Amino acid sequence: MVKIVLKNLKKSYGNVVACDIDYLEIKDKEFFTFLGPSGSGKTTTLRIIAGFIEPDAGEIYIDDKPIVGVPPEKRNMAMVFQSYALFPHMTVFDNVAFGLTLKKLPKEEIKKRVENALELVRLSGLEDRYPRQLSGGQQQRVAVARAIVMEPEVLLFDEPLSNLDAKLREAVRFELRELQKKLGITSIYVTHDQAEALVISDRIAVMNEGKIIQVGSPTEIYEKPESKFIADFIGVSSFIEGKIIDVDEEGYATLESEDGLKIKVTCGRIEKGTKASLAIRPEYVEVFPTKERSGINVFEGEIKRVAYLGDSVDYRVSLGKWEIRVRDVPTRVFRVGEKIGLWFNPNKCVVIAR
Amino acid sequence: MKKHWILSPKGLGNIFIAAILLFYVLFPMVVVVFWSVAEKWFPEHWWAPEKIGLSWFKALFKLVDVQLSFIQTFTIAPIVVALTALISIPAGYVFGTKSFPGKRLLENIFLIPLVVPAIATGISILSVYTAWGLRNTYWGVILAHMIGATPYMLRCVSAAFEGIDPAWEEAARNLGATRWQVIWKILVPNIIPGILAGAIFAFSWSINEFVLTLLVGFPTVTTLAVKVYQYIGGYYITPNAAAAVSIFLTLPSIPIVLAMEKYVKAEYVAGVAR
Repeated sequence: MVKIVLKNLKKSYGNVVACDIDYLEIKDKEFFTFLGPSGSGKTTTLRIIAGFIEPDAGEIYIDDKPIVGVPPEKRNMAMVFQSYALFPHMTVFDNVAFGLTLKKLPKEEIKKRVENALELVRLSGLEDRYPRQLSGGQQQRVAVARAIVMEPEVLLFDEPLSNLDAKLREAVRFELRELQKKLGITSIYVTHDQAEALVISDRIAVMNEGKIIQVGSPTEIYEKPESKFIADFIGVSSFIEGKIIDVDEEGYATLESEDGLKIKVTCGRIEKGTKASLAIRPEYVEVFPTKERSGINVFEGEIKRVAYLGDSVDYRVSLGKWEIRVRDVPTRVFRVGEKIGLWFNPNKCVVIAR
Repeated sequence: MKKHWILSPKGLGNIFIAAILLFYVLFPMVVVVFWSVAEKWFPEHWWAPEKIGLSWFKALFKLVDVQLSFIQTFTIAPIVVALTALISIPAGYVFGTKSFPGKRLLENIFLIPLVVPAIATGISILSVYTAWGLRNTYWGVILAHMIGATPYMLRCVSAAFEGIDPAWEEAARNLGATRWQVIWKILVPNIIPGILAGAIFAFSWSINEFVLTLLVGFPTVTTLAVKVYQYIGGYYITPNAAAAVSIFLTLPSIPIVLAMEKYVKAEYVAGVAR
């Protein structure tokens, strides 16, 4: 059992708040991700957990045992660095064995464990190479092997895939997640890549300006963003600003936009009269020739821009004073300037109180 | 059948250029070796000696002043290397790992000794050294050699420190290394090649330094480079002896070149040239 709790953790550099977390619990065997733009404090938080940065205040507990003040080498955590931080003067074997030799384990045990770790990351046979003789992807796997060979209580990942090319990155995401599930080591991952976070994590904490804005599973974060920042940062959203004018018993509410459009939305915990933003994903807006459909949440807009992406078409549609982004299957393509009908799926319209 | 590329006009041109360059670099060496072993010349021409032998070397080794030069040259050089390393390691650490205002300027100031002609430096330090009683002393020559050797050493060592990824330390500590273990097992092994490269430069600088050695050291300290000049120039006019002394100077270069091949990475040399 390895449960990590962060309590009232604070760190600032001058006026810049790098980390300000009231309470966060990371569960046993969980793959937990801190996601945020650069400068959001996610890396600072990870480095505080690793022990490289001393927090100004607060405490970290691993299974109720406080660890702030414990030097990094005594924390039983292993980290995979963004630059991999492989030691250039050591072979792959020596790099992976480094931590075990410091523990003065018997030679045979070290050999066995290093070989096992290298097999797990599919690098058997490259033991005698030097890091500079390996490709980026192989170096990344050495860094992973060097961490898992320690059999740590916690695995820490600091943007470990950001130096790989896009195709490789996608493949490694799955590999990392599979490996983590196989080993069952509680893992904390830091990234600014939302797609990576959605694929790899059990739960995600979205950070901005040192604070955690929302914690949830990838679906919760994507489908039910609790703030405009998240709706905008994760994926693409179109926004319509307005006021809640009605709330019914079935869990729907009606939002009247600043320019008078009435849109039915799922209501969440919002009250009548609140000023709110409506956020909707491009894939949940349907487009069709005008007058083909009518009813609730059907509006008429005009195509402003078209981007044909092969597997889909991206439209920017003007609706009153709002610009709505739409993703549609490319079975038919509307042209710029064409009037079209729009339908907002009420179950996928998210309202965020302002 | 296709002709071999070497036989094409371009290949022949390349070979021609390479041959000229090789001749240009190696011919003086050949002449020096030739002269140092030429015991007797034909009276009618200059280019082939009548008798070849090691008598010049034997004669030189019997001369006390040459023996002394030999000892002086190869004791001064290691001391110069050690002292420049002593200065350059902490300075290189700061230049290679920290950033501060004026760093660029300071780095360039350290290069000035390489730009100023030795004779100009010599004239200015001569009066200072005389005032301080360093003229005609061992330590005076060592200090004079360090002026030129330090920039090379410093560049090499800074380049080595610059090559260190701060994440190495974190990675090592994360894997259980203490601060001391980080220094011994991670930092030192990655700095040594830089220091070694600097040492090679500083060593060859010291044994080759001529102008300052002559100005500061003469007549008490005469390294081999000065000795060659004595034999060739104003004193005895004996080119054969001069050639033999030059061989003494050249011999240590062979292991140095081999060591460079093995230890010096291109980036350290580039660091010097930068």
